[in-house]
Amino acid sequence: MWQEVLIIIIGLFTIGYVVLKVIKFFTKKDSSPCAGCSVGCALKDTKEALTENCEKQTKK
Amino acid sequence: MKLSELQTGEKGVIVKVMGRGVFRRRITEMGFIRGKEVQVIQNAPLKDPIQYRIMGYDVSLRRNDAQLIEVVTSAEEMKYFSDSIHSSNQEITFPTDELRSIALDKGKTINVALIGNPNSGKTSLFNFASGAHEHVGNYSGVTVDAKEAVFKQDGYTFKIVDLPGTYSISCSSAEETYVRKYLNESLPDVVINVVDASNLERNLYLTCQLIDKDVPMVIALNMYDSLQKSGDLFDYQSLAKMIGIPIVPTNGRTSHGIKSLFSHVIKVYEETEPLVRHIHINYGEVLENGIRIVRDAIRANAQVSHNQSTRYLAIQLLERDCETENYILQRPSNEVILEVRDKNIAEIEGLLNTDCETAFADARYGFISGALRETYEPNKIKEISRTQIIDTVITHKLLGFPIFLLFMWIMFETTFRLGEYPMNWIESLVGLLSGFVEGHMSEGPFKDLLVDGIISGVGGVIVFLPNILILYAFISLMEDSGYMARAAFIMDKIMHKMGLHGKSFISLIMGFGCNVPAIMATRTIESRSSRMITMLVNPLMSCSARLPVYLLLAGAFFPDHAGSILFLLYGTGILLAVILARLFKRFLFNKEDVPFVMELPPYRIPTGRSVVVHMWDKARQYLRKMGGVILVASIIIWFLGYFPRHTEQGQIYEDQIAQVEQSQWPNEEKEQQIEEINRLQTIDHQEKSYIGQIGKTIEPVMRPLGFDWKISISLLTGMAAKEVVVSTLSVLYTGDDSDEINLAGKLKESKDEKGNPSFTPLIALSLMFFVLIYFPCVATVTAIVKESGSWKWGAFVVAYSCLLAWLVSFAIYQVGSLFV
Repeated sequence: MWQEVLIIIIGLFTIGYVVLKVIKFFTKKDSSPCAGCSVGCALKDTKEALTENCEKQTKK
Repeated sequence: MKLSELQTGEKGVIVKVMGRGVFRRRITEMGFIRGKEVQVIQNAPLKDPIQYRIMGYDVSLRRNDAQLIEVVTSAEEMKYFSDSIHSSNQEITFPTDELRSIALDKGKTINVALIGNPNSGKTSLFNFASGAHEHVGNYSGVTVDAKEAVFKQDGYTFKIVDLPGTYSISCSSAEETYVRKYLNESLPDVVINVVDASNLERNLYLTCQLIDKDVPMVIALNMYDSLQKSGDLFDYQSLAKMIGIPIVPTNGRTSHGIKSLFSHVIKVYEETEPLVRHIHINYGEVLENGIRIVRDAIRANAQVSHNQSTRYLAIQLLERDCETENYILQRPSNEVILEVRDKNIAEIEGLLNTDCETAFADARYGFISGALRETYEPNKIKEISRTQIIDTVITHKLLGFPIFLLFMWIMFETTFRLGEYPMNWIESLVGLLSGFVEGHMSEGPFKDLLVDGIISGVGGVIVFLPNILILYAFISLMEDSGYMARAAFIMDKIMHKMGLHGKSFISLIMGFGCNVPAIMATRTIESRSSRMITMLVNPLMSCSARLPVYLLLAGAFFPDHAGSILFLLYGTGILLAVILARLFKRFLFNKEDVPFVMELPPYRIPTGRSVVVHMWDKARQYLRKMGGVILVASIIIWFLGYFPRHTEQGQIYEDQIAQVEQSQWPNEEKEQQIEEINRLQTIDHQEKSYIGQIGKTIEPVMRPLGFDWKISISLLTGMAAKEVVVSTLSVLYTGDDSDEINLAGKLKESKDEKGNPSFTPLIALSLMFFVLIYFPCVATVTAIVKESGSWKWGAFVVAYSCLLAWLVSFAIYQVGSLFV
């Protein structure tokens, strides 16, 4: 029984994750070409850090 | 916060004063120095100028000038700390002393920009200084965007920015425009001009322009050890005194001199460096006369920011610099300035009998030549350099190409052969883990998910990590040694034939790693048509994500020729790129290309650190993929393949098994019968599952290529990331009752309901070519859309790649079927 319950939780979690990723892909206005990358690499990290820093500066 | 942003009555403490020359001197003499309190008294009716009180007396500054002074206020500091102290609406006011200490502390943050020629070693310096792991290569154009890092030394915080390599700061290319815009808008406190000691004359050209621009600067004389080894003598200290800029020898490979370099940066920033003085490069009587007249016209007519050197603006105007012209056009009385400029250009060109741009370039090289004559002594008995000797063979017109092909073949063969050993070890570990879970867990869907979904899916891909690392080690060796630039040189003729130039090849080669940064690297290509073509054909360069698919199928179906198959696939990718580029050039982008001079950097021995950093970055990225997209994809595939659970057909199979068990047949025959029923049941369940239904729907389109519904599904899921093709095959083929523990064995043994093998060498070949060509991953399409500025080109790449993949695989399978 516990296995069925765990499976349902994992299933719901996975659906939520995918839906979130899809929404983020279509709604996030990002000038970075890596914005749509579901995988990520060092380049994406740098770009995201720069964007975050830029946003912080703008807010300030 | 800038001083100009303070409201009337508000107080702030000065953090730093930016700007240059007379303005900076005047403003500091007036008391605008770090740590001093300043208050806004009032704004003029049109909000300009603003009256300030500093050190007990009132001064007025123009808003533009006040923008060059950075201050810190109580409100700003409170906002800064509010996250950590979670304060309510209670107002906190920092006492002036405390604010002053904050300002002094903030003033110890130095913004540094790394500027230099391409391949002068900026990124290596950046990495050593900051401990970052940015991609470094021994060819130009590696940095296509500014990279930022923060580190501390001697109580100062350095915010360093690695800018793209550029030969000058005119506006003739994207990099030059980018660097100039950065210098103008971000106003770095100190610029580190990275100069390649082995090519002083060309590198110092950019230095001359920076001197004209009057930016606070320190020169990093990079690769000074190479210069010393060559026997040349360079009295850099004398040159430093001559040009009024500190010069520090550095070595980007060993980090030698980097600490000293940043100590000098501190001194320049704090204005305690005794060497520093601003010099004017003497352009000769004719040009100097023109500069003086245009400069005076600018001073008299245009309200230019104090941050801009009027002499520099005059030089730029005389050089017909488009951006400076646009800048002047936005100023009042611009017609007068441009009229004076045009008159002087005509006069200079008449007197010197050459165009103004050439006259300035000649004068700069004259200045460099003069400076070097006094400080630089080349080795008189210069031997033929190691680079020249190697190049006689490597770039030989007949030998160059076979050597390149041989090197590529060795790379793929080693990737497969050497990688096979650790691959087998990881495979055994995955098998052990799977067996352990299977043996120690009670039956149920979660156990099935773990064994058939997660361990199979993720384990099926993770085994290829060693191969990918070996391939990356080779690519890293090629880049760092300087061979990559030679490869571009060798390919230059072919590139020209396909309508591109050698610079495109670098971007294409980068595509072997990942297509996304490769597409971004096309920014260094000046011509839009070349850039677009390079971008559109880049997905045909087989990225490392496709490698697991090739390794799996080539290893399973062509074990004796796996390396050659890899070579064939990568070669086909390049060949198709050549053909398509030619077609795109003919039909879509038929503009003439801009001329381009390809440089060949000297050979360097790659450092172990650089190779290890490349490999480590790749391993990290690969492992992160395992825990992200591949894990999620494996779970989804398993869910879609596992449900719906109970079908009418399932009951029939169970009845059949019960009948066989009750029959009077010998035990051996019973077991065979039950095994066959189980196999058919598994096939039937998979076909009736959700994923089976999707697969069956798309199967008719893929059948002519030899692909069954499982392969078709794996291609569909592979659109997210190409490794998912392997994890999908792992999950879908785990259900088969096979004794084989590894995926390759399962694929070889897999049969359809009629007992025909699902995979043959021909199908495997067709599949590998399809994976090579079809749909670039979502990230690559997005990169193309962003870089080209239009969805049209993203859609175009998706459409042409899928169509081409289908046609190539169709041809391979149908023609191959005639012979096999």
